[in-house]
Amino acid sequence: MASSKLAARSIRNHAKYKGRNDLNIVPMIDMMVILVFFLLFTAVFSNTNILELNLPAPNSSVPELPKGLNLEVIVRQNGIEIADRNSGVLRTLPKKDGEYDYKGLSEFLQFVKSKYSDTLAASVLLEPNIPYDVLVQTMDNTRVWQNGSGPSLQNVELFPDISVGDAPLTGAAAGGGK
Amino acid sequence: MALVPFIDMLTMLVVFLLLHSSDVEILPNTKQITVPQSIAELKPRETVVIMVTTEDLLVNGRVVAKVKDVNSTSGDLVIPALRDALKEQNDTSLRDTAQQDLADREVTIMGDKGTPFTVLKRVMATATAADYGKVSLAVMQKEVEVGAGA
Repeated sequence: MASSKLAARSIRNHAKYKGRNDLNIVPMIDMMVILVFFLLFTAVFSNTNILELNLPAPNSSVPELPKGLNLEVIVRQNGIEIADRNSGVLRTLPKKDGEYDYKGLSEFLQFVKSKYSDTLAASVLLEPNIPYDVLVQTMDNTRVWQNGSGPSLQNVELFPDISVGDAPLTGAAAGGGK
Repeated sequence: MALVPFIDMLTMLVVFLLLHSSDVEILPNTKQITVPQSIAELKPRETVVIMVTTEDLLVNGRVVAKVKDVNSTSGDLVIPALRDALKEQNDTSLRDTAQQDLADREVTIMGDKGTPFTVLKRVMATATAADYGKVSLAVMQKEVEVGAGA
């Protein structure tokens, strides 16, 4: 029975395609359309990346402060302070129009980097209610300096080794980050 | 045949999309939170994910605590519920090699833009208390300005 069915179909197809010598591309188009839709729906258009943090292990003792610069970027409710743990506040950048002065921060850190080119570590210290976004922006500006614009954009490394901690209380001597 | 240009376009689309789907999505994509934008270029790796939304604290998609309860300066830094959940993840989803080496255990924190630092600090303290050596923050890649070539 089956063989006669097959034979019938063979004859029918033979009659149908008689005299036509182009390929039947319709199934291929079907597959293509399905593929396009599948890939469109699985495509990722927003790239998520990560920022690595330098956190101490909970049981490690407080390390000896290295000599030289111990850079601290302190984010407060009313502005950003740049300080050295040994010598105190270096520069205070108040908020401009309710926004933190990231440009000023970047410029001052470039200046610090030009003086201490070997230093890679910095601490970002925040007051309790600072939003996460501010932390990330501050870290960005502390890590690298974006030079130029458009295709000639370069990332110049500033202080990529960042620790995060609590801001010391206002009025208290600089230092004592957690 | 009139279909040929159409097939050409489809082929191009398929190839384009195939090339662009090569970077696999590792971090979960959520509408609930807005991750801050950054210029960081490091690609995410397969790790345990702690998500901090405006309301809940999730570990690999499971709710473990409420942000409201965590956001207080008083008391211990470590969040017990989160620590327990993280310890559990240690034993199940991490690679065997990482289980041997504490410093290689990684956790990625996905936080909403507005998360206060108090919450973030407690989450990070808990992560280190649960023997995770590396903590990373998830960020969105900043869009390149118009006119800047790739």
